[in-house]
Amino acid sequence: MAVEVVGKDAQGAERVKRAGIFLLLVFGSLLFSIPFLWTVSTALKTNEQVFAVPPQWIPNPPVWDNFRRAWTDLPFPTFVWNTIFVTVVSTFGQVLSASLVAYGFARFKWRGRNALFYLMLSTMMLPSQVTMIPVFLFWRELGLIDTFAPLIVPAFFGGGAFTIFLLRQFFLTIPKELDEAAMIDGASPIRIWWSVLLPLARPALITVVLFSFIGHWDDFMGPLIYLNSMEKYTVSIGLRMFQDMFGTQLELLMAASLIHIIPTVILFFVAQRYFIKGIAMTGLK
Amino acid sequence: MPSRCSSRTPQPAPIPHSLTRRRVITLGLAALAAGCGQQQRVDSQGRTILRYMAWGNPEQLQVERQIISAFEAKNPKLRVHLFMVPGSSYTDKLQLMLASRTAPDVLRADHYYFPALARKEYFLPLDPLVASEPDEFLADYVPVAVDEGRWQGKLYGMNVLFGAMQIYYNKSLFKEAGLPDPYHVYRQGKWTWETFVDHATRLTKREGDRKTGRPLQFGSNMVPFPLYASVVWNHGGEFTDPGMTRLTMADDPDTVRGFEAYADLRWKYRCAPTPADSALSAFTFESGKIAMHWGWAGESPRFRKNIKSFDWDIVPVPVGPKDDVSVVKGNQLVINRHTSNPEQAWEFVKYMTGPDAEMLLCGQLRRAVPTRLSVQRDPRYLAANEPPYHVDVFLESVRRGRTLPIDWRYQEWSQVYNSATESYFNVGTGTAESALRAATERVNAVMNGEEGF
Amino acid sequence: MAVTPPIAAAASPPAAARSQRRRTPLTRQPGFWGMLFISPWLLGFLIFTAGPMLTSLYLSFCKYDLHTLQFVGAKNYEVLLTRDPLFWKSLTNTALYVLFSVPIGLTGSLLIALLLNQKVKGIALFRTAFYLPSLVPAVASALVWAWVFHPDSGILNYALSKLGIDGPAWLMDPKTALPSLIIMSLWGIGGGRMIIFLAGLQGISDELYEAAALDGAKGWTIFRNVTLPMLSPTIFFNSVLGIIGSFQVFTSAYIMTGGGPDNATLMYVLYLYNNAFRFFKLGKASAMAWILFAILLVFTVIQFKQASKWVYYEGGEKE
Repeated sequence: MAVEVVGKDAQGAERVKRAGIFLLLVFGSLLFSIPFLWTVSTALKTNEQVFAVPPQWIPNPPVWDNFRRAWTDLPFPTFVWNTIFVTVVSTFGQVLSASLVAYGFARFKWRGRNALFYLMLSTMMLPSQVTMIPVFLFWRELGLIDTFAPLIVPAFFGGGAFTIFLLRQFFLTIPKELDEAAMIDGASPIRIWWSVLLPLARPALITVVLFSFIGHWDDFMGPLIYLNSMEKYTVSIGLRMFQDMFGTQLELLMAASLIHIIPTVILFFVAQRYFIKGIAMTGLK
Repeated sequence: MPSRCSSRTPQPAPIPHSLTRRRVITLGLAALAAGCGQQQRVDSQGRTILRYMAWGNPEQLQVERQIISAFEAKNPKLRVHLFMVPGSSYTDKLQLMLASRTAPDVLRADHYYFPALARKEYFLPLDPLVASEPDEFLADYVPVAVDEGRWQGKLYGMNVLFGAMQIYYNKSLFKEAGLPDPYHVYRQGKWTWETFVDHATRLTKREGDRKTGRPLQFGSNMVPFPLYASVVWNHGGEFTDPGMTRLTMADDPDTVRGFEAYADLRWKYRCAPTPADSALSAFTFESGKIAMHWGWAGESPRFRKNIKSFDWDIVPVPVGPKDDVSVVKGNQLVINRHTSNPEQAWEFVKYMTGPDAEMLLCGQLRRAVPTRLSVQRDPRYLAANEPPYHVDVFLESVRRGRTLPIDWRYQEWSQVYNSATESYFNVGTGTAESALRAATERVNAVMNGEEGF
Repeated sequence: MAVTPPIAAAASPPAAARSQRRRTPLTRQPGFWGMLFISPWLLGFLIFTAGPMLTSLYLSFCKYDLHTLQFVGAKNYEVLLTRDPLFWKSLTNTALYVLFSVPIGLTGSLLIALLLNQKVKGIALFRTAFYLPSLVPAVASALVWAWVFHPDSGILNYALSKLGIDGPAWLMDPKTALPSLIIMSLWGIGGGRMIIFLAGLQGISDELYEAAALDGAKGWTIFRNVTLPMLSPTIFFNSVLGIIGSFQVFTSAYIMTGGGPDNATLMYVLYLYNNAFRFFKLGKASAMAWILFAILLVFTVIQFKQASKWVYYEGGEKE
């Protein structure tokens, strides 16, 4: 954690500590990977093997055909394309607008700001199950049912209380002197937002991009209620079509689940690279 | 899809940020524009568009598409736009659509919800449309199937995916245990509750102790309320009074006996899995670990596809000391009251419940039992070259069929009923009498109580 | 640097300042910029949120079955608070769930974030592995949990039997069903909250650690005096959101137990959902939503009031 002047003993102790951490990481990773590994294993089984007792972890032989069936039984390529479109556009809108709003709440003071901030937070406290019908009626009035608009447009209007609150908290940890210095140099507030706060809040922005992307990618209720035509469906709806009242075709459901989560797993794997220690502060002080 | 194309168009980028914003505005507008055409009722070639919504898995989707294209070939002026929704969330979407008047012209409603929805006058009464048909139109339908589509005397829905509960049995396990084939027992008129329990007990296998050892195989599965209703009925019991205004179970010894007989499979004879046993689907009919599976007619396609290693067929549910009914249930194909094309919608409903569609759904695919008597008599329907071979069992079960006690408050009181009977049924504590006493009191409090807001 | 409350009371500026503000151009006033920056949210709130919120508030005073609408005054609230045992049952279940899952979850997430903040080879893989449960669809993980909690062949009871303990029936037993759901919630401690902690840890300057080390501080002291205070805004964020989120717990009960056995896992929002979408009682469901709203508002305001005592903002507003 820290730079230390180390002697031989300390070096030894450090080595033991490192080994301990590594073991913990390996053990924890295995434990937390279980649902994923189980999904992979089930996706490669025959229907009979799925219910075998005791459960088999390594299917023999692996049934790769499940992936082909999951992909072709429904128009999955269309679903994937729709999901990418909705997710990328909404994520962009959400991060852009939330960072502006968070900046407004974090750095400016005016009468009524706190009331507005509380109001914003309070929107998270009403369960979405009851506002669903009024919101739906609004989109119906606009004639936009069965389009992507209800899924995309709201992202550009603030991006949700969670995202705003998260970014605001991070902006508050950035020393205000940096803004002030830029202001003395004649930078406008927009310029300060763009070239001082956003670069410094990079870990937070990556977090927000990640959450926003995963949130839109996994969203089920939105597509379910607003989309009617199959050619507009997203992957999360297609996935659930493998669940059936007369028993689920688990192996296909799992294969489809895997297709569904691969993009988010890859995104996570890549994005976490940017959580590299010190990136926010080095060279700025 | 102009919106998607523009998102990929490479553009020179002097200021990256404002460019992306402009691009996003373009995208937003394109998305809005794309939506404007959705309310249209006529396509570019002047054909009327009917919107039809149903739930189902990919296989059901193929079937629906097949029926729709046959319908469109017969009706060149009509086009059917299918909305296929995942079954687990169908009700949520349906309710939102009905309440907001965005529901399609024709839709399938699960019978568990049908009375509650019919009560809200969401559906078009079908009697006037039936009246314009030839006199004998309804005469070709199984009466109990037509009845299920009625609410307070008016017809609102035509039955689809209709069928009764029967027992799928594993022929190979019966042979192995040296037991007579239950179908023959049934044909001899000896397929009684006692015989069923006896066979189920003999077909249960455990490691070590016969009753408490680790289970390897069970004689029968257990079905949730209300699918076991026939056991109660066949013991002479009833769930509600004839007007379905209150639960009467605790007051009637026959009902208590029937209810107890069913729970005994699990806790006295130990020949059916407990919820703990069957968690994880460790015991399924397909895996060959359940000798007799109480199930709907619609489960046949799944068994046909998945069962490779043993012989199987069907037999009616056992008769009881006082009656010989089976549970029937279907789903209703209804027309939205606010449709702008009621006649065309009726044409589609007739086709979906007509002989051609039923021959495909019930004959070829065995997804349901025909509601049309003419199809039931058709040799092409009766012929079977893969299991289940006893097609007569499907028909006999429907003939003995009795509809479930489902009223407009069923969703609410069935939950109360389940939680009151849960510990007796699922944990094996208390007595049938005490469980039913609690259920009756609590359910009647709901049924007599305020309707709620 | 002074520790300032997250929401400093907006004291009305003195008259002199006010008159001065009048003379400054619009673009020099913080209020102008503040409102400009928050305007996307404000517009969105007015368009998408205010209407639905007011609608549901009105509905909570009505009888509404999605078909007929009738004003009934405070009847829904009266029925819920005085005559509906399931309302209280679901509220108690949810409160217990929050009481256990929030503190355990927060501590767990922070510990994992500290672990995953180490410079170790292959850290990318480890971080992904810990995050995986949050990515796997609920339908898939539900099956894993059914297998973990299986009374006879589940791994949990298998492990307990090795210790000589006869394990309970977990999700099947009214006594252990709720604790089972709390255990399930721990599966998510490597998820969103952990990432937020990790991002918070990344935001702490190396120089602070170096300075502390030069002062001779060791592991725990550094953690106590550097890491914790610097991370306090993140901890605050996660605890506010943790409580709001846990009170609204829905999916795990909906998928795993449906509220049973014997309503032991009937969660507040699940009961609300049942009222709205199963029993057609939208008025009652709306009243439930507003009661929950009031509860959460009280919790959140208390947290914000407490925050001034322990949350530290480096860029904090100076009075």
